[in-house]
Amino acid sequence: MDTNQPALSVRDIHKQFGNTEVLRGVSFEAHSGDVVSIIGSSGSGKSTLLRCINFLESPNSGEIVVGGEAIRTRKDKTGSLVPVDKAQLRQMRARLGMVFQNFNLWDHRTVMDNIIEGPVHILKQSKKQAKEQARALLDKVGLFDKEDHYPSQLSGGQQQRVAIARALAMNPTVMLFDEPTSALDPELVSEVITVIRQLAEEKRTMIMVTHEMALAREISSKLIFLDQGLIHTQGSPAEVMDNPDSDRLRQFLGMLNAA
Amino acid sequence: MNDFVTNIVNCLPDLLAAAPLTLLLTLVAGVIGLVVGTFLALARLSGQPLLSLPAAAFMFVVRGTPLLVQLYLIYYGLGQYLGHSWVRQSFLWPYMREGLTFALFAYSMNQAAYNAEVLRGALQSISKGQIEAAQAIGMSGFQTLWRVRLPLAFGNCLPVLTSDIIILLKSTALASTVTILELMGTARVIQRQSLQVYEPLIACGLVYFVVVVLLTALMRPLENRLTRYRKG
Ligand SMILES: Nc1ncnc2c1ncn2[C@@H]1O[C@H](COP(=O)(O)OP(=O)(O)OP(=O)(O)O)[C@@H](O)[C@H]1O
Ligand SMILES: [Mg+2]
Repeated sequence: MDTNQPALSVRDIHKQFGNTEVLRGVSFEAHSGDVVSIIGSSGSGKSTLLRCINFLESPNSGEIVVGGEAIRTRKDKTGSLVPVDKAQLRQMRARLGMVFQNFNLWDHRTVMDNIIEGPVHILKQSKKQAKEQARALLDKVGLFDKEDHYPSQLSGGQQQRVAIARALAMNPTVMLFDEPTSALDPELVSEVITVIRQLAEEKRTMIMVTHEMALAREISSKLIFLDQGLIHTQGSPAEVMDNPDSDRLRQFLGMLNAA
Repeated sequence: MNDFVTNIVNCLPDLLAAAPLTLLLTLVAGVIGLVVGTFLALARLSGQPLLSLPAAAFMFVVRGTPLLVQLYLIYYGLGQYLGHSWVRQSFLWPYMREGLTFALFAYSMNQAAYNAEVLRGALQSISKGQIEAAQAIGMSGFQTLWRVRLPLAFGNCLPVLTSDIIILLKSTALASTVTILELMGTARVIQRQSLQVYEPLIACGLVYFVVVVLLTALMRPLENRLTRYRKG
């Protein structure tokens, strides 16, 4: 990959559900090693934005470029962008590791099988190699003794750490996190945050939707305040959080502090 | 009373000899019904009217009419019709003429329709998130179906599918009405020959019961193995 190319470019993404415009032209870039955190009130379009990046949601217009390669699209008759080449989309998705709010591990597969599924069946690695890598990842997220467990036998925090390992196993160009700690009981949040902080230290490129302001301040190279489908403010965490430049941002930050 | 028990016992050898045919009907119709039922369920959920409408109509009609009516229609109706058509010249005709083929067809279609309905519900009940996780990692539609959706759907509805197999087994008794000498058909032959009314029926019921118990005992570990990912 060309190091001058951003790892991810999101260009002028528009998205509407029915007649409601949820995203009204969102653009940003993440260079290799960047951590971009997205904050905003409920319903501001954060999840939708993240899901447009890997086309779990089809934007109505705009462009997604991963490591210099754009996802090739055309407009379908409903006005959504659909991928022209499904194989290309699958390749691009494999380079975008997604971590969901609700973990979404596959219930019928063990922890090990969840992690090697992508490497073996998408990247066509050998099972042996994939398992070795999976064990290293499980060790990294502190779950080396859980490879034979099923998701139902794990706590939420453990499931989310497995989900992170599953995404990492694809060695993605960019990691996408959608509120990775908000479905967790409070006492389980920190074990997941520890892993995310470690990834930031390793210079993983990450886009993270979060309500964990302390984490966002600590690890983000860029903080984006999304409001009503637009980037309202962006900058370093200190710029955005310490000198809120508008009432809406002040209101939002105040709400978090009050909570 | 002693005679009564002896008579029952005397029926058993013939009935046990007929039990494999009952099992054959059950297993063949069970397997074909599962495969066809899976395709039907997928067609039903495909969102393509050309696929989903015929699938829905088939399931509706088959589930909405008595099995006995279907058996008669297929055996007498289809059998007669084919007997007068070019199919008669086919080298397959000697096999097709047999009641067994028509009965297998009827039971398979019936089982397919019921399985399809069960599977449709199971496929719909899978959490969207697990499917999205498959898509997000780069799986194709077929991989998502084969590696995630179908295993989860079968896991969800396995108890219903296995109990439907037991119901199928018992409903194969109706095949005796189209000249098949499975358990029930054999019991009726014994009735006619021995002029006993109850003993052959009781013996027949006993054999069904034992087969059901054995089949259930065989399926339980399978069920447990395939759903071991549930809380445990
Ligand atoms: N599939 C959908 N169909 C219709 N409307 C949707 C759909 N998904 C999201 N929306 C709407 O789009 C808006 C933005 O939703 P989104 O989930 O992106 O918000 P969010 O910023 O992630 O909120 P939260 O903090 O609650 O997760 C909301 O008004 C939501 O109701
Ligand atoms: Mg959200």
